[in-house]
Amino acid sequence: MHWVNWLIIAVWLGYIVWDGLRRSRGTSDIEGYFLADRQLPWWAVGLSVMATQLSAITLIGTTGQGATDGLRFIQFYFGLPIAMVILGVTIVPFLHGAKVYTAYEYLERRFDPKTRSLTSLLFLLSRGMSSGTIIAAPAVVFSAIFGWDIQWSVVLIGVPAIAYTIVGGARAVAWADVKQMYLIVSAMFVLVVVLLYRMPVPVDDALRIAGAAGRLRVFDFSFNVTETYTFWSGIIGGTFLMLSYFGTDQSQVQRYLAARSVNEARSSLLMSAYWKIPLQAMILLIGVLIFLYYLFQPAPMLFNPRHDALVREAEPSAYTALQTRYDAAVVQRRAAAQSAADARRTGNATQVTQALEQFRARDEDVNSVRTEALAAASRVSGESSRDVNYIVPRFVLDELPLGFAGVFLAAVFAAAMSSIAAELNSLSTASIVDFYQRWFKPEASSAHYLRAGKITTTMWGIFACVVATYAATLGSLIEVVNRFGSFFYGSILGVFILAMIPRARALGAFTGMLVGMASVAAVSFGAPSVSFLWHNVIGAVVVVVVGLALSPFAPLPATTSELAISTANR
Amino acid sequence: MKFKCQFPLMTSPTPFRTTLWRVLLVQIVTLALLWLLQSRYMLPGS
Repeated sequence: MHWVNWLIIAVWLGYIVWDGLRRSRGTSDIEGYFLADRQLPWWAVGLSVMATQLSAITLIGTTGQGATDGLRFIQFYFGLPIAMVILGVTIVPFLHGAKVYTAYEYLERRFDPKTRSLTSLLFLLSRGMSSGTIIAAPAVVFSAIFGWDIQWSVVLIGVPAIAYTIVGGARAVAWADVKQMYLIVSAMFVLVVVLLYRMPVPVDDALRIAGAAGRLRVFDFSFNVTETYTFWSGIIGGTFLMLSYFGTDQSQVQRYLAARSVNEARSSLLMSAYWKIPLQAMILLIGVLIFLYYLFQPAPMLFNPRHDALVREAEPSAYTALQTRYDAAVVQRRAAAQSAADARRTGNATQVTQALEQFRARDEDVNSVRTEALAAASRVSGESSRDVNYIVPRFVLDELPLGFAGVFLAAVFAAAMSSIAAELNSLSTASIVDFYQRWFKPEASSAHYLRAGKITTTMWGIFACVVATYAATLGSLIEVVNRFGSFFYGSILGVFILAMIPRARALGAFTGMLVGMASVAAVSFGAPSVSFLWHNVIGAVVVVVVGLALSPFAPLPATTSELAISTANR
Repeated sequence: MKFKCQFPLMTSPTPFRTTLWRVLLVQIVTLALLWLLQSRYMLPGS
């Protein structure tokens, strides 16, 4: 890559770290470090919420998914605006009004210490591991693209984010997120403009070709619980997933607990409700435009350069044969695409349909050769052969003008850093507030907890980098942890729903959570084809039903004033 | 002890409720645009 691109990335990373260090001034107590003194404006919190969710793999993986699979992934987010609206009138006022540091702290006030500790521990387990995978996913891509050892990619992504999170805490994380979001959105607009400018056929013709290749299918109204990307999975399963993620996951809850008031916290979530689906549509559309671009320009057979080199070296004759077939199929597809574009100008509907059918057949030929090449890559490398995550980085490095690649890659770094910083900040908060302060040292000074917070941020940062470095060899372990995580996400949501129902009691909540997790585990192993989106629905419903059924048998709590805590503080 | 409505925001007209309608409107417009994109450019069976 040209040094100018590297310079842009270095300047951006330097600026973010410098700004984080600058914002650490004035942070002298635990509320300032963990919650930015609850003084952040709604728009900064809103951008921080969006930046936390938008990871590097969203930027490179989702665009790649748009290129290979089209727009249907957007259905995954259909439940998000619904979830944000529900959270705005339910959990947000409860948590913000209760003046807690962690979402789980509220569960002790409402139920008992063991419910709080179990939910917080589950959060630490799952987010601790996922913080490693957040760094690992882009690090693996950068390593393959630039030919580095993975630890250098991990250092480049992890160290700046860890540095400004340790020093500046929640304030640095939020303001860094604001800048990262500006860069990410700007980089995406630049990509769209460049792609439209370079499209060799009119956009209307290009979209018709994309439609013929199935890339513009958005809606699938079939009710099939084994399919993740359907309208109903997105609306029902997606709503429960987003309720769990934005309502009970400390990495998100901590963002809006830092808002100035309940109304500002709500407004910050509504920013995602407004913009998430349009933003995600734009990300996927970039992928579709890259697919169209590569119809008319030479495209690599394998986008992962390391896999390409491995197959070329290990099976040279098979590679040459595949490449020859691929080149021929690509030439035929390009001619078919051009014919389809030309046919549109004739105005003859039958001719247009025939040309688009022809194009679709040629596109299937190309896909068939690529499937064989990917199978060869998998055979030779012993790794997953999906190269979706490599399509956009290759396009950016090979095709964008000087400097633009630097801006886009800086945006990928920004996306990774904003997610990892929020996770480290929330992991540290939960460790200190829910465990260290609650069980080991309840009466220490604020300065002591501030020091402890910085130490735990450092430890979680090192842990994340170690997990990321060994992600390839820890692959199966990470999968186990992720699967374990999916068991309890919906169940934790169920506990929070119970917390808002006055007649629910601690016994019902705790037992309900255990039964909920067991039910999801049973479904996951007994019917593995059921999409994970439905696990959250099952977990939450079981917890609420069991919790309410058991609550009449539990003693009344010593005080019920906590139930009205949110309305009292509003 | 009697509990008050936990969600007064849902029972009173507030600026937040107006915002909710706006959110709904933006989503409907976005989904309508996506629907138009699909119905205009997709080939049957693709």
